[in-house]
Amino acid sequence: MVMDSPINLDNLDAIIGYNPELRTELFQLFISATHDSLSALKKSWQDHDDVLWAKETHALKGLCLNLGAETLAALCAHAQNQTRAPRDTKEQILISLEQQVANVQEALALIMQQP
Amino acid sequence: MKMIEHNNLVALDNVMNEVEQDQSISWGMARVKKNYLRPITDQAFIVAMTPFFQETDLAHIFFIDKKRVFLIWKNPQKPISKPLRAFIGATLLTPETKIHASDIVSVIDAGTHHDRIKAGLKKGLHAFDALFDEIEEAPPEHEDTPYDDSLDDGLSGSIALTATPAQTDYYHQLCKEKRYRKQLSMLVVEDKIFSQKLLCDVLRSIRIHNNNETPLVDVTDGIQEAWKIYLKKAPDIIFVDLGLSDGSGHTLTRAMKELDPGAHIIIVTAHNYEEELSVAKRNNVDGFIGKPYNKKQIFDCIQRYLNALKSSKDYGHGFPHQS
Repeated sequence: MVMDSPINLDNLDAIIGYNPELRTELFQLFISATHDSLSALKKSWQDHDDVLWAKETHALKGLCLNLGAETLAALCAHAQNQTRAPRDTKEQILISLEQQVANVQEALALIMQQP
Repeated sequence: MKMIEHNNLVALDNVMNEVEQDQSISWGMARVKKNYLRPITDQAFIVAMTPFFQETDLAHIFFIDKKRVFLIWKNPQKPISKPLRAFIGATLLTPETKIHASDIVSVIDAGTHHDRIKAGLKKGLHAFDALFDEIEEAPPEHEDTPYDDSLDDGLSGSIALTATPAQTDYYHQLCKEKRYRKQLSMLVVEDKIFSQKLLCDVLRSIRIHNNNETPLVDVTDGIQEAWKIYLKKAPDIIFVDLGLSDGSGHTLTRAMKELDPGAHIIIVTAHNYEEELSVAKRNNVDGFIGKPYNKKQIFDCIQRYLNALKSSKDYGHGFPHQS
């Protein structure tokens, strides 16, 4: 694992053991879940819905921690702490989250392409 | 992997001919009711499904009409019906959709049911849909003790974490049988499919020394369904996330402990706030595991439960080990 990778799969691999099939399935489920979470977060921002914001940032953080997406998990924790922040602050957080989610998805796609 | 798209029933018939000639290989077939899915173009549907079919040799997608999509895939290694359900549920359902993934996708073994599928095709789409309803693979279900469905009275509708006297009696009867169970029964309450899958895989990898059996694991994403399973099965250990689809895990654990202070409940959450911990302690939960967790933490929870059970007489289980 290179130092600047957005994911660290050591813990996940320790949990599931050598199981490429399950690993790929988990990656796909993670990608789907992040897609849903980002959509929900955008909606919460548009609707001024702080409850949904807190719920989704927390849920996404949990997924990231279990996968090993540590940077994204930290960003989610920050986002969760900023639940009552002004809209422009949360908009910037959303942009950062989208970028980091893209980084993680790209890293996962690369791993899934490996034989 | 090769993915081919088609747009009519004739093409579906042609592919079934191919299935007929290649009976040595496993074929799966699914029907997706497109009107339950997110507004999505045909191409977007293919893009969304492509990751799932990465490990298959060949997948065909048939856009028969505006309501139905049929998938046929060729996989020499394994049946993939359950992951397909989960994948479609997670990827394509609208967030507002209350319908479970099992309602939007029917999966059948195209090889086993080949003749019936061919016959159904000749009768047209309506008959074909009916055929799926008839021969769809039923999800596996296990219950040691028959359950009287009338016990469900009062559980439908809004969240009502209460039990009738009959339900309570039934539950406590099951509790008396716990020590004689051949397999541990576990319940995972978690609303993210990724986390469900990960935890269930860990739990199902555990063997009990005495009989080398894996635990029976039920999984659900919400409080109400969890309560029903709890009353029906009296699980040995319940793993509960705090942020659930229909409320807080604290509400569920409180109700479970009120009915049965001996219920063994483990909170699994990304929360690490003292406030959450103190609520969990007030509810007398038996463990609190933070995310990310490791296998040993889960293993230790099960061992603690077995140690407690061992102290009761007529102990039936052994100690777990990881496979």
